[in-house]
Amino acid sequence: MIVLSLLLLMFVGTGCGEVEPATYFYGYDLNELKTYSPQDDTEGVYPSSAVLNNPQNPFSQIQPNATTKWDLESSSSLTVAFYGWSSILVYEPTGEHQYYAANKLKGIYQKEECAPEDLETVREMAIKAYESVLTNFPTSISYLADGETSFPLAPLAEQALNELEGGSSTDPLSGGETP
Amino acid sequence: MDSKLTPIRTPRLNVRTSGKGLLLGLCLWLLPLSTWADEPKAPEISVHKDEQGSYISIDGEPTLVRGMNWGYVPIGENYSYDFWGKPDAFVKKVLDRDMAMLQAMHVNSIRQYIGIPPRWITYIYDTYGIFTTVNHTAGRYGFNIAGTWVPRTNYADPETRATIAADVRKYAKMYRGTRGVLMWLLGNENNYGLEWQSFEIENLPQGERQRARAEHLYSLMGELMEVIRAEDPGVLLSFANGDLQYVDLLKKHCPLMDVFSANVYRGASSRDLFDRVREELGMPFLYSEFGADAYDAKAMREDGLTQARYLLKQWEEIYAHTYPHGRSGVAAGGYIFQWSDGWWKYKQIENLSIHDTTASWSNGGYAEDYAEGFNNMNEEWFGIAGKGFNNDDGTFDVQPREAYFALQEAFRLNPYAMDATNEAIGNHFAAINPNDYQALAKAYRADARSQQLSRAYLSDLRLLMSFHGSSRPEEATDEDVQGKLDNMQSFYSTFTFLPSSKLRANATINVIGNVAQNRIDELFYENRAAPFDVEDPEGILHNIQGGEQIKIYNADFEWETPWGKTTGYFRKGHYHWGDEGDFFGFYPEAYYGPNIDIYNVDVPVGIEIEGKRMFEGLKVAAGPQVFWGANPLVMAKYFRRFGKLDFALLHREDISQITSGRQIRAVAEPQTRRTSLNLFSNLGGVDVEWGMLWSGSDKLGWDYISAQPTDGRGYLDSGYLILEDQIYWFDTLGSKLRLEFKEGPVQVHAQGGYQGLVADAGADQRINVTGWQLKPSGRGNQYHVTAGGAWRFGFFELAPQVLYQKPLEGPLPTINGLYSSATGVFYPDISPRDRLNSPFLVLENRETLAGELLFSFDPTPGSWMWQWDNELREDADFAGHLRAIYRHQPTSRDARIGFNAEGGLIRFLAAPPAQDVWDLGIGMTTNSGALRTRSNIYAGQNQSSGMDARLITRYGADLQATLGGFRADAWVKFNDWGPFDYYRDYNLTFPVQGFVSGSFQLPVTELGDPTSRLGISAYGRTFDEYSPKFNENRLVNEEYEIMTFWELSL
Repeated sequence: MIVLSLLLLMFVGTGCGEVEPATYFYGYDLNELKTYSPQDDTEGVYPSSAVLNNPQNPFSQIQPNATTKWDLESSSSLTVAFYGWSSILVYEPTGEHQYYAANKLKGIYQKEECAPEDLETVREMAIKAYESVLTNFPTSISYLADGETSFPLAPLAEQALNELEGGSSTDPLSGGETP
Repeated sequence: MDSKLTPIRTPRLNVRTSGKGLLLGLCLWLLPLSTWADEPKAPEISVHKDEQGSYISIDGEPTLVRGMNWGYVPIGENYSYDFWGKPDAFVKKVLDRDMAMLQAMHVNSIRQYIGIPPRWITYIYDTYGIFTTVNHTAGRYGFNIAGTWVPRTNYADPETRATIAADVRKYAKMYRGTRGVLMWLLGNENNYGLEWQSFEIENLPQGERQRARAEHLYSLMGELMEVIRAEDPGVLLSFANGDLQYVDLLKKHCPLMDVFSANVYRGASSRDLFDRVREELGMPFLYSEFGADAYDAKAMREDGLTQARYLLKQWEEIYAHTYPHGRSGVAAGGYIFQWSDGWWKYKQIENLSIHDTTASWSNGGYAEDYAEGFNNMNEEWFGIAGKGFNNDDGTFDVQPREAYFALQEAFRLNPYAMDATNEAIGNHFAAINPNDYQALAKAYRADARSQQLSRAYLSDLRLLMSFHGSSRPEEATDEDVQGKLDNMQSFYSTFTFLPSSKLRANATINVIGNVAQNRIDELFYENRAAPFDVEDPEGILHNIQGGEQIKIYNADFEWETPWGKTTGYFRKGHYHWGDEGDFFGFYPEAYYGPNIDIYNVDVPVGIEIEGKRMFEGLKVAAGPQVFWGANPLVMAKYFRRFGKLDFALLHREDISQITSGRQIRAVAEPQTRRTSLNLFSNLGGVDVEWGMLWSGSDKLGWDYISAQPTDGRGYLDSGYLILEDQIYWFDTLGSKLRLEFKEGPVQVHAQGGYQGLVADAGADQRINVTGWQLKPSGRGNQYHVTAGGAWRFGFFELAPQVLYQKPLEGPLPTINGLYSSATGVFYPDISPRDRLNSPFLVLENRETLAGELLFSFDPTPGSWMWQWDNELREDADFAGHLRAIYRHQPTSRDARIGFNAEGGLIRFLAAPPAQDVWDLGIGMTTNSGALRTRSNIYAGQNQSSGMDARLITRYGADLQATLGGFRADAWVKFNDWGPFDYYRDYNLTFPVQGFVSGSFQLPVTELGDPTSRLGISAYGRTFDEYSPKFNENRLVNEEYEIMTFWELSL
């Protein structure tokens, strides 16, 4: 009986809190998601998976697919695109995903799409993300919109790093523009 | 001969334990003997002297002291070992063993330095009839003077003399009246240690200094005897001199001395010693030390035979000089030096665990191994018994040498008996031949040696050598097959360690020579040592020869303690706990056959502890991976029986999250915890088992999505509504009920269960009723019912079973997402869940209505067909079974995680569709004289374990046969998956796969036992468009390998 009582107490201790009914899901309205709030300064930097724990991240459960990631890249906010690239990066660690995650962080920093007190943090995160391109994916390439013309990512990462650390900007993708 | 035997005294311990119990006896034992026992009268001990000589008298009887310098110093210890300070139980155990041996040898006295508690003197005497001579060294090895240790005692110093006298007085008081004390002995050849320097001594001429020091020594001894006599008037007094040196001083200063003692090492005879004692002292003489070592310093070998000869001669001389045999008449006996070897004697503080054979002094009296200019006395070999290493209880065994047995015979003669004439004494000793005891002594030594050697030995050896010739394409793109030759060697050696009878360990090492690079199966254990390429910073590839060439193949240990048995395992399987209350399969069986070799994984690894005594019923398991894919965990099970009710409580706690992937070749479940309570009883002839499960509480609050079919458009026109929800407490609960009863030839089984979304557990590991394969899943997110029965008629059995299970939340469909830039709404993909993104899954718990029919024939129920090792044990002329399983699967499942050929993780993100599948199998065993066969035939329609939708229909057969020393193995498969998991993951099949092997082997008791054999095998497969290396442009779409092999096993 003592053991049974203990078990009962354990179950009660689990927390028989209020049960919310399931809700129907109709997609995420990302219109309001324009300002990035970093929760961890490794978000978007391989091999961290911290971005999946950011409550602001709409892609923590389901990541964009091969088509929607480019849709988000071309027409969503920098913050939405960052969450998209960095969430895919966790499950598919490629140089391309790392580069675009870095690129979005740089854009957020340059366009100040985060709280002023987070600006320096975001700049440092962007630097770490670009460094990850050079360190972990030094030979990675990406493609232009035609899907056939490739270009190496390492030189672009080096240029972006130069810019973020005080040099001039010649990165053609600077500011979130796509090639 | 019998008339000359000395009655050996073995007084009974007069203890009134009254049989009231061990506890009372123990309490009483802790009290001084004098407080709880009737006090027997202490024997009267005195010295008798007359013109014929002198002797020691005990209760009026002349008594020869058949003495032994007994001590207890284990190997690894030295003179500082405090035996008498050990717990009483330990001391008693040692005394009971050694004193019994001494008693059997007819020894009647031991010499002990002060420190032996009086109660043990009395115990030894009362129990074994053995007296103790207590010996105070009187500063022989230094003394503590005013709190400072003075290593060279200055016997001229008044403070030193007073301090020693006070100490002697203290002990004299302590031993006063102690029953069992034979005499007081002072010193130990102190005349050899007169080394102090003082102004007074240094003023003397060189030649007079030692004698001047000796005057001080002996005058002190005289004073000490006065002290003892004052405290204990009845006790005999003696001094252990170094041979006869300064005997005149001894006589001058020690008038109270009753018996003269000396340490004498003169060889077989002490020559004039007894006559001089009679002439110069006129009192009984006792050897305080004498004997011979048991090591031949010339031949560099143990020599117990020569030692026995010396001791016999020495004792014969003693007997000849006893009262009143016409010679000196003063010999009163002696203390043999010594009982067991002193491994500490040479160097004394170094090499304490080495039986040193260095001779440290020279003595021409021992002629056999004496050589001019060389030492021949081996201090560590004076025991008449050898010494063993410590046993589990901390005691050590001794191995009696020839001298033990020879003297045992010698001591049967009482020299004081009326008929013990000189001639009788001579005849008695002449009749004792030490050679007669050599075999016995050797047997003791051999037994000790074998015990020592058995602590670590090589228990198994296996050598595999093979030559491989193959023809195969390297890649699908190759347009030709390539023929290659290669060879391989693999060597296994198993070491067993037995540091004590309670601890046993095994470890097997595998060493690999060359690794064949032309095999058609790319995964095999030895491949870990294959050459590999490394790219340098310039991008140049370098081929590195050899990877893991040497590896611990497996290891295990068992350690028994009074409180439990601990078992450790590394790459060695363990059984499940299903038969002892683990209803929910928390601790599954971990026998993986060849798979852990094929994938080169180090599982299982952990420990099990099974409690005893106050921990009876408790079992604990812990380890980094106690079964394949387990997180580092610790789990405990408590099992008790209350009357007819069995009760088991289990808890399993994952300590951390293991990293899934290449290293463990598994996808670990998320870190979690689970608890179950299980009850079992027999109610009215029905076995009833009920269990309650609480699992996955750390997933509370996790979000998840589910799909609900709709008649409307649904999410992205998919026909499904998508719902968002989270894990609640009730999702962590589960329960199961199992009923089973037997009535005549019919046995029935039924089970029902419910497990919440995250209430994951394991499948029931037991064999229920018969050898059914169909079992409900142990995974959470399901409910199930199953029922079946077995009907036995004659040697036949018919056993149908049905199962229905359904997930609480079904699998997710595949719906492609999109992002609407016009509305800013993101519609994510919906795809089947997998282990990396969902708190629960639909896999083997998918909706299933299944039936199984088992029909078997087994005329020898003693070797039950469904026993795990029946394939090896079945002894029927013919036994066989037919199995049919049909699974109706109306819905699909979620996605699995798989591995590619390199061991990388693959997320399939999809699943095969809803599909019914079936399996059919026939198994047969025959034993017809020398011919034994085991064979199976199978067919089935099954799905990929990955995501491919193609349903395959496969069939095949295997055969193993032995005829005398010939063994054949063969199998063939049609349209079946390849040999490794990833073939099924990717749905890669071959039109035909086949293997045939023939070998000659040494006879073995059972199939499967290790043996030595020599053989040849052929292995091959053909390709089609579903095969990994298929190339339609290649003329030959097949590969094969021919292997000759040698397997040598001990």
